[in-house]
Amino acid sequence: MSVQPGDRAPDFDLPDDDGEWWRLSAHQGQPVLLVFHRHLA
Amino acid sequence: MSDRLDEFGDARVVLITFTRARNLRGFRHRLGLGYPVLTDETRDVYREYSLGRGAWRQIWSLPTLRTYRRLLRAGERVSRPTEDTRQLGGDFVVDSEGVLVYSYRSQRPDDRPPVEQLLEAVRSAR
Repeated sequence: MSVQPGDRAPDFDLPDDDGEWWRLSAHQGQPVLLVFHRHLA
Repeated sequence: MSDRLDEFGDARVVLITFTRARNLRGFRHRLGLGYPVLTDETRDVYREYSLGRGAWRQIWSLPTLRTYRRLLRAGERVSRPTEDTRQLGGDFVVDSEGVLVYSYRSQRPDDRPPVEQLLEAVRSAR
């Protein structure tokens, strides 16, 4: 069952390119656009 | 989309990749990107958002080849892939309360929603 509009967005905590961690739930209070990269050389 | 970043206003824009952390170091600064670039090496978050791998015919379809031709003609450097070329991506908008209000799962590597659609989703998420 895939996550759909209306569902709570799955939270995650990932490192950025400087090694700093970025957690989705820490940004509540403002909209967030998540762009998942697809491979294109 | 990078050249229209201003239009997203106070929304946070985040790029999530599955590039190995050591290959990603300094990437944002080199390209002058104004948003965080995260790495999901294990692709656990890709799976959480139901972003799977495409079939060969989906990936190496005519539109994908046309995109490569366009990039090459524009003088872009196209390198030999070192990552999973079959991993598909997507775009999601999360509102200020943490609820998903928009989702777009790509069917091919070149398949992206129009920027206008993303802007509209972000506007409605405020």
